[in-house]
Amino acid sequence: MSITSRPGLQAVYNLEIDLEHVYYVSTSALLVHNSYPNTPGKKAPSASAPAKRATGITVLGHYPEYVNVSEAMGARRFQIPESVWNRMTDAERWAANQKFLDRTIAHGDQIILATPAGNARPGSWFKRELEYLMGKGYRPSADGTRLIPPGAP
Amino acid sequence: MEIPEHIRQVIGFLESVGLSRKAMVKGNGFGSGVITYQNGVRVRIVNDRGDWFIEVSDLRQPNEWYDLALLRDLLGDSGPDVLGAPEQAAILTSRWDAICSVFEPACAAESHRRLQRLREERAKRWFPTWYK
Repeated sequence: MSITSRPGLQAVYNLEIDLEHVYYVSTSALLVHNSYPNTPGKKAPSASAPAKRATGITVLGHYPEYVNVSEAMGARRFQIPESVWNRMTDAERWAANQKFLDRTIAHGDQIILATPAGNARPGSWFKRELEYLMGKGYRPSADGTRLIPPGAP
Repeated sequence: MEIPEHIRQVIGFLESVGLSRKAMVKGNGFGSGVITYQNGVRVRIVNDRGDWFIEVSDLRQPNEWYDLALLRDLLGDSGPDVLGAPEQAAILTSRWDAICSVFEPACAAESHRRLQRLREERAKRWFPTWYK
């Protein structure tokens, strides 16, 4: 891998890979992300990253509760712009949602429930998320405010 | 937030029975949003990641929202847990008087207890390893 400097204005592209604006390139698996011009290392804001906050806390629940709680905590949540979401099939939506949950699990995030599991709306994405995490061995805390990972006391 | 025709009809119905709009909030993702009406009872119409839900609450317990499948079961009818927006709209409009009577002061406390019990029973069916 090498770096080549090109003088003058060049076209650049805002890549989205697997719904993330952070991705690996080449067989060296170099992790790259977008950047503002002339501010190396500063990430460009991205409205379409499904979960751009890395606080170690992920919030699940119904709208509007999960948005309110994640905003208040500065925590991570699943989010996709309306224009993108509307173009996706249900299968694509669930695949994106599932990847978000898989990343949540892989990061070892604490999962906060803005809505108690027992109050899930029938047919909601939240209920589907809970079923998926139940299948992964998660369980609700006694007070119902978070999900406990498998093996944790 | 694009409002489909059957949700517009629900809004028209709520206004026709005397409820007034208290809030309309649009989220910044998925097209989510919420519209709240109230007058004695509260009704909120929620677009949650593209799916529409109609929920009812009592002014005395304004943060306790019940979906139309639960209210239908409380009223002695039966049907599937998962209802599309047209089915939710049909229950709300056809059973409106009964739904309002559920939250009248004389029976509201008992209604809340029964709705909570129905919700717990449903959660046990949905998440059998969590709620036994």
